[in-house]
Amino acid sequence: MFSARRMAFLIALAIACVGFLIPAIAVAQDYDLNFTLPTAGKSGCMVCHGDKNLGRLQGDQFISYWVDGRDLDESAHAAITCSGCHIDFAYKSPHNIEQTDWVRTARLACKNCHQDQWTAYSLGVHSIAVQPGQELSEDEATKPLCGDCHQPSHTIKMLTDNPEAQAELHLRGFEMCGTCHPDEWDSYSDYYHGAAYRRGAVDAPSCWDCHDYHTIQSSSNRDSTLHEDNLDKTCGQDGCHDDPNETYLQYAGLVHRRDEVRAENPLYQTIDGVKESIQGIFGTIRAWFT
Amino acid sequence: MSEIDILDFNVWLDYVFTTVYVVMLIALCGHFVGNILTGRLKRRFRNWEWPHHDGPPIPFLPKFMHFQHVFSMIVLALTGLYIRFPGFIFGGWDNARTFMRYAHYVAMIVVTINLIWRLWYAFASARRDYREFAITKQDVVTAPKVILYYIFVKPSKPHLGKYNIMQKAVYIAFAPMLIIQAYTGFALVTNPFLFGESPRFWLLGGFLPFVESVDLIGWYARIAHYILNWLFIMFTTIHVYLSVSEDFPAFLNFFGLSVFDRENTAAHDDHGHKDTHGVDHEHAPSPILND
Repeated sequence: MFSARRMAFLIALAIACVGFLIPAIAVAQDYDLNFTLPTAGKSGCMVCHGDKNLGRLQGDQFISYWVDGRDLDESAHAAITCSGCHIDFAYKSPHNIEQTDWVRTARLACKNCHQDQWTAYSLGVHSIAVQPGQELSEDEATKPLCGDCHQPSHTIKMLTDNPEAQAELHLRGFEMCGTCHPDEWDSYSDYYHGAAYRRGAVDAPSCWDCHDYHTIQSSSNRDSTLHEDNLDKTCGQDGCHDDPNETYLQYAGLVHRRDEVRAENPLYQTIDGVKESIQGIFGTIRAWFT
Repeated sequence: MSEIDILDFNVWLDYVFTTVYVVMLIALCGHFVGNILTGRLKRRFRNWEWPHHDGPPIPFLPKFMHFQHVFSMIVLALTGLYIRFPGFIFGGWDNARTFMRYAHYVAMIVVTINLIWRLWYAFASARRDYREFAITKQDVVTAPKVILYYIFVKPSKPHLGKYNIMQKAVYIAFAPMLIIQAYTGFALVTNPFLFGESPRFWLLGGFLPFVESVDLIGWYARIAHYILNWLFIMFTTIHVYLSVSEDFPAFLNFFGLSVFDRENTAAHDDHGHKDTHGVDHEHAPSPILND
């Protein structure tokens, strides 16, 4: 017979075991919550996404799913509910969605409200030529979506009548274009455009001031703002050059080619050669003593 | 200009002038070594023997104008080079170009006013001193001797007045250079605040029917402005070097940092007799104002 004391101990042990095991089982299993979000607000999503620690490990990379509610409230989309943009949101957790589905959704997320911009984007080289049901080719998959340029997407500012936001956007050339076009970003180094722009000159042209923004075309396309037939209009736009003629427009060839022209310069090559020789001599001397 | 010219020309200018400037600095270092080897440096800085100054003291006004000219030109050079080479100084300062532009504008206005003031002082004031800068026939005749002195072939140079011919030539050249620099500088301002048009439009003849592109002329103006900038930098570097190495007391005096010690400097006068080191100074027919 168990004594009353031993019985009490065994009951307590059993309760403790059950208390530890239940959460452990819950963690081990993929949780499946069925819940309904309020459609007229963000508070439902922010219950989880307002947590700074919310995230997921993808490989060895931590992907944060935190959304800063303050930024969102100050953004141009403060009045839009989460599902207004995240139109694929399913009432299941943890929202596992295939990558291609996400891409397709992202293409459409902005379209509902920004129809003109969508149409303009669809005419440019960044437009993704894939239909629902089709697989994305490797080339198409690298093309940017609205949110790739307009990032961080939760902090998009209202630009109309907002010079501060316009100025902020103006200087985001690297984030918007440079991350995908590093060579073009690096070569944007001529005296009065690129070198100044990259050092925060607000009066220097950003990428899209010349290349256009939503309807970006290859410069070989006659519709491109940088096609030789259109250069006078592009360089002569308000706030830039007044009346550039054909000779003057030749400078445009230097905008992304300064380093190239410099490398071809015989004097530069001579100086560079002398510099390398001197460095070589010093390197040899240094090698004697090390 | 053809395409290759307009593309390459900017790059050529950068490398030609930086190379020439480095060569010039090396030459000045060589000249400094020459001063050491010939004993000139020791006589000047150790024995404190400098050219004789027996003229009236330099008035405050030209010193003041010179000082603010120096200050403004340094500002112009630094800000101007920043405008052309963003980031060569203050690299991490966002949107520094706007500040540099406005600093450049302010300094160019100061220099322009200063230039007008100095020209008035030289030609129209009670103490007009334009004659001190005039190149005479004697200056031209003795010019080779001045050059030979500076390249250490001759131990002394003829003193014909307050400035020698090389100084006069450079100081005279500064006036038109400054005028052209100011003109081309104002011609680079594209803000339309003059009757709805920019200074560029008015100064480069945008209103003339045969002007095809003010932008293109503006490009030529920019090139001229840039070339003159380098000439100013080079001339000023030589000017500072020679001011310090040839007549340091005058250099200090010009900035109000000292008064001439006439007793010491008198040992190195130029009245056709040998000084304490046996250097034979040639006779000067005019009053010696070797400031």
